[in-house]
Amino acid sequence: MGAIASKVASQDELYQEAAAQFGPAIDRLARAYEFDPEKRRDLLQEIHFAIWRSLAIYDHRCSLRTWIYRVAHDRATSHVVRQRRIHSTLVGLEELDQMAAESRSDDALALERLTHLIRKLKPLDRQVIVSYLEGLDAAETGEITGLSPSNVAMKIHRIKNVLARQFQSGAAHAE
Amino acid sequence: MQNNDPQNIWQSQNVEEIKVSPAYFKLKADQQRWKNRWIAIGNDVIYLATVAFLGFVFMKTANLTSRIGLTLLAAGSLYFIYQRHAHLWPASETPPPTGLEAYRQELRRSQDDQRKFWRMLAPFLPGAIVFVASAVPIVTRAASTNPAILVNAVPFCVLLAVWLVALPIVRRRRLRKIQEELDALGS
Repeated sequence: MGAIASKVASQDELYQEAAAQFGPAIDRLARAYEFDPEKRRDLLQEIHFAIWRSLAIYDHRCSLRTWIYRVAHDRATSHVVRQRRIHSTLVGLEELDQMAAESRSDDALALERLTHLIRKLKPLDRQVIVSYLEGLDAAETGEITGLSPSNVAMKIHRIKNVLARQFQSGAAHAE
Repeated sequence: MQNNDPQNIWQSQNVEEIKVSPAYFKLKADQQRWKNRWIAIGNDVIYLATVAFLGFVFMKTANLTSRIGLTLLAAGSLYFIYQRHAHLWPASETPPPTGLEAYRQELRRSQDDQRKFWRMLAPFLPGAIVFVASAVPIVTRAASTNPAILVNAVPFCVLLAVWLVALPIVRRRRLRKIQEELDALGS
């Protein structure tokens, strides 16, 4: 009985620690997956609920950050696939530059442009770009996504190129 | 804020704070578990009632072919109950998969959903075919005295035929796209 109580307590404590530490990052992650504010709030709550549930079996074999990101991306990916957006309009990193070039004349704000680009991506590429934007290194991104280090490095290289072209051009437009 | 640093732009955005306590999550988890159990039990009851009804019809029917059809339908229903029960009963928590695995699982689930319709229908098909075949002579006899029965059934039969032709085409297209995506992930 005592063991169960302490397990529950540690689950709650871990959740509170995770929510305090990664709350803003989880919110940004939800923004990368859902545009509609109402649905995003639901998705955010679903992610927090999934994190709390998963912490009951957290075994410390990976860092808390990796665990949290895995759960969050898992829920968010599920959200995207279930809405069937994956089979219609989403693209891979290879096609992103072309799509971005088409919308280059759009004078939307930098964050909106960035979010717009992210939401066009397929879930796995989206996980990599969000991890990169959150400042995670290639090793952590590999741990979260399950991609090989060389694959992550290649994707990050592509992302950097696309973003550099987009945001240099964005800055030039702003000047 | 540096306007052309994407990491800076991304991390500086305003975020909404979510204030939900673990106590609320506990309540939600309990509610969800009970709800899922009741859905599974409700599902079992509905199909067991169907099996009981088939048994009742079996007792009232003298025709051997109809009886075979009903027996096959009941067997299909029992198999379906078993499948649905295993699917609906809440599973225990598992460690979160990697992003790649999560995406693959979702695509497979999506693939399963596309195939589910035929898999759901499959256990009932043998029984339904035998049962309908046993009804054909009765309908033919009725139609010979009143041909309007067949004329009235034409719109229904046409719609059914269109649906039966269109559905596999749409499903096959969706399945192909999912498979392409899975292949690209190297599964």
